[in-house]
Amino acid sequence: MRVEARPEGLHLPDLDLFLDPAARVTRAVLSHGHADHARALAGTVHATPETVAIARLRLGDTSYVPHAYGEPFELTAPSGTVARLTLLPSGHVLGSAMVLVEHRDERLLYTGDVKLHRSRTCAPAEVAAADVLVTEATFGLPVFRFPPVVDLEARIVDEARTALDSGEIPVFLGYALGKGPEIARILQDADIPVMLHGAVHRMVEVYRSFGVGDRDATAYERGKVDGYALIVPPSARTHPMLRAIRQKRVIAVTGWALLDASYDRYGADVLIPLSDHADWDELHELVARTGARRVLTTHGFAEPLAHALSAQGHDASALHLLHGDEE
Amino acid sequence: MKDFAALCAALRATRATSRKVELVASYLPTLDDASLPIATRFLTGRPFAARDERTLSVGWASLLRTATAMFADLDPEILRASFRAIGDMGETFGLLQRGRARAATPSVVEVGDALERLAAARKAADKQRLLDGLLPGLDPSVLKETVKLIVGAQRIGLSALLLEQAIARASDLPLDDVKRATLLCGDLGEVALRARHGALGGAALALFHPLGFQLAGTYTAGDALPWERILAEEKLDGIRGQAHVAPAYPGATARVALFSRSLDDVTGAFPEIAERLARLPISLVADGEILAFAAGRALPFARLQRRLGRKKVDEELIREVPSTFVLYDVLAWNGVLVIDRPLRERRALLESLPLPDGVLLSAATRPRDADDLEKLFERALANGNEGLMLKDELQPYTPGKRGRGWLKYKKARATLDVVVTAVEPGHGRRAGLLSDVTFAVRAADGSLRNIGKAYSGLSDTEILETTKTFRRLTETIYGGRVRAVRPEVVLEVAFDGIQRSARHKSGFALRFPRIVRLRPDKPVAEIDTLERVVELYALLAGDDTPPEAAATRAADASDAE
Repeated sequence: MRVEARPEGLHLPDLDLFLDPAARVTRAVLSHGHADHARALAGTVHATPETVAIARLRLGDTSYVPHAYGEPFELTAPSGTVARLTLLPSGHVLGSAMVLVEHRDERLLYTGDVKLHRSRTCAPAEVAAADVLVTEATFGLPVFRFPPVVDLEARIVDEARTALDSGEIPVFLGYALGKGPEIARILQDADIPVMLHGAVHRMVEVYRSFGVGDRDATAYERGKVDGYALIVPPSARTHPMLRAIRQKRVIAVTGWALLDASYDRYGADVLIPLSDHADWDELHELVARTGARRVLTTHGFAEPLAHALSAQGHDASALHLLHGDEE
Repeated sequence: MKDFAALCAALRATRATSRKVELVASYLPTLDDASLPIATRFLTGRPFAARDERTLSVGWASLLRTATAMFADLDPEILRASFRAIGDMGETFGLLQRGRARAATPSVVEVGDALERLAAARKAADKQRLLDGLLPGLDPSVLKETVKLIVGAQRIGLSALLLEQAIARASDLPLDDVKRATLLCGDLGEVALRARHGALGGAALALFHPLGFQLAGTYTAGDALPWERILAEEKLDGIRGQAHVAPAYPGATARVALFSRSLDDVTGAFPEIAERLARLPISLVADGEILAFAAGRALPFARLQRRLGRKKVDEELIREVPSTFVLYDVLAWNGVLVIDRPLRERRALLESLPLPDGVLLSAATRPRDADDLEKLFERALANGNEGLMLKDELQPYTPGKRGRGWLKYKKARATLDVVVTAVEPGHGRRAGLLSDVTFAVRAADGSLRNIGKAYSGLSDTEILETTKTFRRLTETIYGGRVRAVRPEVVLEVAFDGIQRSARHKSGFALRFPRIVRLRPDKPVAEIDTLERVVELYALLAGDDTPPEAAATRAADASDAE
């Protein structure tokens, strides 16, 4: 199956289908709702119901076709042949999907963003067998190997409790879609009251509408934050809302937290490397589980990952897609 | 070393300096007497004391070879990509070592010993063997800090001052005592140990480690000063030097070192000065000026420049550009630190010194008032000097600080409006930006003549902006680097002097040119002319100074003889 990196995004010319397009095209599949993937709308957008709801909020309306995980649907290629597509959980965030394309006895799997370790707020990844794998490579270097999730979850709870006990407000930095609701859930499961920045709160409401999370989450109210753990998107860390809080401990929760430079980058006091992306080991495990011989890498450290996979006998190369900031 | 690594991690997570001091102050008491000096030195980001001249001399390539052997399961290209991506050798080693079931946690003393062996090894192969023996077995956090020590990039945000504060806090002693002891012996490790045992007073002056230089504020013409205690000296056109002298005594030969403002040892470039200073009868740390000097008069800075940046100079160059040392202050006298004494007393010490031939004492005059000062200032300019240094006789010497003691009085330099003719990419933070510019003035025939090259002066935003403009104006690219550009961007440049130069078509070169600002308001037709440059050159007493002027220029030095 041919795969092309076009200015408009990742393109499957045989099907005239775009995956996560960057500009308006005729038809596309959206893997998930993050801004570096859900960048532009298409005439027809195929996505999971969750991603449809998020894309509608973020990008506006178009002809959306929702597909539940694991329920195949058909698309007709320009040649008249029919391809079978299946959206599978990618374990990244709520609604995130890998796209399995079966066409003329060939199977292509596009990961979107993927992680294999567990999350409390999204379905675990289901890896399908494929001939061709197009995988993200955000953490495609061997320096990126994350500690066990249970340890990181325990640290999130510990840091929140330690801060609250010493009269500080624990301020967690996490994206509205994914990390924010995940942190909220981890803290709530430990009976720590959370208060959410507006953007995170709106997203948690979307999660709840899909039955993920059942507890009340309080939206941020100025002057009422004492005794709560506050969750804000990383972009809000310089917001006056945070400057108004004198005694705080800023905790960045991201895969980049493995690096000392993240103290400065996030203005954080504490770094916890809980990631929504596969690390080096998981990327290799993913490739092995698909059984794919041909691997195309994109996003992040695409070149080194392709180099390493080639050295292991794969037909691997890096795809150069233009993309925005990573989420 | 594991505790040391934990401390470093905590320091990196802390921005508040007061908290950093607390962290170090509570760590130091946990160390025994053997570890305390070593761990304290490590906290300075260097394996050895400041006064210790040893270096590890381990390069990137050697560490990469060790890494390739350590992480043999990883492709060398992937290793290189990892080092590039992380940008910190120690951190990358540490990240890669996680989960490799290697957990050697040597003590601070053992790591210190290993680094001493590394410094002592002369051959590259021996160094490689020591690295290969030391690093692979280490626990990840210990490995990270050890490699960081080797490459000298601890990145814990701990200045010498904060470390001194922590030592003072840990031992409950006044900070000033700690600072003074550090200044004397040049080893925070020794100071930490002495502080613990209440023995700071025993810190002896260690010569041959550079102390900070006193810095000067700026005097504005007309300002009133307490004239009765102000000494004026002409601001000499040489390079600042700190001389350390240990005279010969039975059983030992004399030793002399000269340090530059950047605290580099420049003794090798000025052997005749070292030889003369060695004839001084007492041990000394003195502040002064290295001047190119021949037949009783100072030579222009351009001549002195030929002596700089050399480890050794040959007899011929010494004959061509002879140098001398002009003393103007004393920091230590006969083994005693005298920086706290007022200048009046320090100056009296210098004046009591029998000076060997070829070592001079800077002439000092006492201006009566601001009018008198103007006369001295004019005379200094006439002598070809930059201006005056005004020093308060009652003030101490404050190493590394802009104290109240010294003020400089310089003539305002003229600036030139020039047009950019060529650009090339900068380095480091400015890699990829066209930040290095060559610029020209206009000759009488209308042609443009290059006169200098500047690297700094514009803000980051301006550089981004001009980079775009230069890309647009590019006409030819030479060697993939240097771009000839259409002459449209006008700059105002300041400089420290004008020299004759064969390098530029104008026949002149600006000394230390820097961009003052962009002049989008100024048409290219109105940039400065070569004629104006010749005028300024004559005014600023350049290389071709007439003999009369050069003779008087040496007045300050010969006055003292």
